[in-house]
Amino acid sequence: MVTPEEAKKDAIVKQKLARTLHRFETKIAAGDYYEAHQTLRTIANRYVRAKTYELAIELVSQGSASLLKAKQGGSGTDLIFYLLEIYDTAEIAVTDASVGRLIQLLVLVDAAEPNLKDVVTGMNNWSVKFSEYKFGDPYLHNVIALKLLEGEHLYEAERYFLLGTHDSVAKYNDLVWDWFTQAVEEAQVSGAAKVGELAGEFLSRLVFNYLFISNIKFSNEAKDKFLTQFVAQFPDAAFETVSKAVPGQDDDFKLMFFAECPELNFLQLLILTCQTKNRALFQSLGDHYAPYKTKYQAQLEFLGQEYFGIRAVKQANFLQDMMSGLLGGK
Amino acid sequence: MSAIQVPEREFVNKFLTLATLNEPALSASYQKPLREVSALGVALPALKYRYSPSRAKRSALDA
Repeated sequence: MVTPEEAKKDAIVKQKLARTLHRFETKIAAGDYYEAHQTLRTIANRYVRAKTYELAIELVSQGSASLLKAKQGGSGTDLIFYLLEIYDTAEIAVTDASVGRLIQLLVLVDAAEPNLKDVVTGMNNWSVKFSEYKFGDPYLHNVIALKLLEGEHLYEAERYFLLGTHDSVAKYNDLVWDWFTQAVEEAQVSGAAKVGELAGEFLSRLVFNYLFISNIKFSNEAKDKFLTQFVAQFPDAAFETVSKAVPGQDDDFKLMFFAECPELNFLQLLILTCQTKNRALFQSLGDHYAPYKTKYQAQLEFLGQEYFGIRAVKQANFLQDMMSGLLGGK
Repeated sequence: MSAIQVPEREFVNKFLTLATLNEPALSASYQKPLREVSALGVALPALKYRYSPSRAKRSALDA
């Protein structure tokens, strides 16, 4: 219960904060960015020392937003780093509000900002530390991925999309699809089989990445969307749909069978095989599609371990074993 | 493809029959909650092809 004295004190502090922010905005409007930035940091420091973290957070986040809107990327991102330090010191948990504040700032950061990768890493590290997710908050990941993509940090964006929300699946799919169509143009390939080979290479990213994190649903969704786009845009890639009822499932399993693109068949069957967790089927799939077993050796070894309990054979390192023996190691 | 080459279509038919004999251990809509994900698998190799997000955006606008 807040006492009248506490409420009065709180109102005074908030008025003071509003005045500080107003002065700050005036300096920004006058183009006096450096002084505005330094003054704000000094006042925020006082709040932090007094452990009035809520006020410090409000001040720093609003200040950062104003600087970013004024295209002062260096100062704006410096305040984001400071905000993250305060989050850390105050042990701010991952909530809609705390993540939302970071997302609002991230949206304002210019995609070409040199600090961008450090900013998103800092944000994600905080969400790793203060959430239940080993790799960080999925909502934050979704926005981070979009910003990284805008900044053309493609592989980093891919990793964040993968660990994002359901919305991220469509965006990750769009990335892979657009990349594939550009690759077709770049390679100037002709003929369904060659386009099919390229399609396999790109589709495999979606399929493997989602299977790695045991997300059969997203793997299926991404595969369906990619293949539907593929047959619509490349009508030469002849296919027929093979349906099979699956015990205990409402929907049939539907395979788009490509006579000339076996890699696409392999990837579709791989998802189904992981669902069965049947080791013999997994081995039979690898035997039939031997070239892809070689091409995707590391990926299949991981899946073998995850879904089928197959321990990967450790490569012998004779020199290491010999040195270890000489030194009496095991 | 395999040592004793089985035609692709024949293999797919037989494989599907075997894979759908029993209820799968994981349904088609299974997803491990991200909270429980502790490994990300192996890093996929970089693609050999260039990609320009701005070019993709332009083609989307043209479409």
